[in-house]
Amino acid sequence: MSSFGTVGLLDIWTMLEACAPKYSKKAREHNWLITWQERSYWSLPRGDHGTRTNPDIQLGHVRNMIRQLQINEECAQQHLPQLRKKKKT
Amino acid sequence: MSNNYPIVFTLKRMIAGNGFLVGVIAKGRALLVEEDDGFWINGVNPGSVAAGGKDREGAFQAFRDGYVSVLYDIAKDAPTFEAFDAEVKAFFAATNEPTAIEWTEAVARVRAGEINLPIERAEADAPPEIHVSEIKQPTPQENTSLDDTFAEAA
Repeated sequence: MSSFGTVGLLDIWTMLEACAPKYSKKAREHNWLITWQERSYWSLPRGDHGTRTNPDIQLGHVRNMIRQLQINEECAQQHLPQLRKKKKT
Repeated sequence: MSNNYPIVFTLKRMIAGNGFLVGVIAKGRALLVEEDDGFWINGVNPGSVAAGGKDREGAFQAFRDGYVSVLYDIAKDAPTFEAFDAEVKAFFAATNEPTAIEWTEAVARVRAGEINLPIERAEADAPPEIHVSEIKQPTPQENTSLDDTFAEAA
């Protein structure tokens, strides 16, 4: 899926529990601050007000977080198959 | 890879925190990616920011908004100017290493004439840097947000 596709926040938490064990998260006004193995990601969006339990998050944000935190991409894709990009033919 | 473009940007903001006012000037790097349904931009420094838009300008604007939202988050939580200064610098210095490699490859392609964006160009070799300064006596000269720039790194 492209960077504009979306995934629910609860599925992101499930992926992080499996692929970034002992990660921590802190809710701030606009973004989640995610920390894992001494690396931090400052801008996982919290979503619009009123839809913050399980907002849709654009995949581009998730991919960028995975790269920044150096999470195993294969593990992440197993839990979030939407992360797999379509191969161009 | 042909749709990756190296970007350098300058963003200037005045931010209010808990008992302090600061000016933040960031000269950063990012990678603009052209996708089938729009443009996506991933930060190199700061590596923690990403955003997309239907067109290039929309992506730049969304990236700028995402960057500023992090400054606002930090300002809200920081009890002092010193705490704000330290966290903003850590945020900016955290390089997105995979994207940094792609950014360098894209700069080489710009220099080889293989890719070209119809926007202003700027020096790719200038290192990313951020300046955070406490404003003790605000003046109109601090109103610089219209000086934001996004340019192709060459």
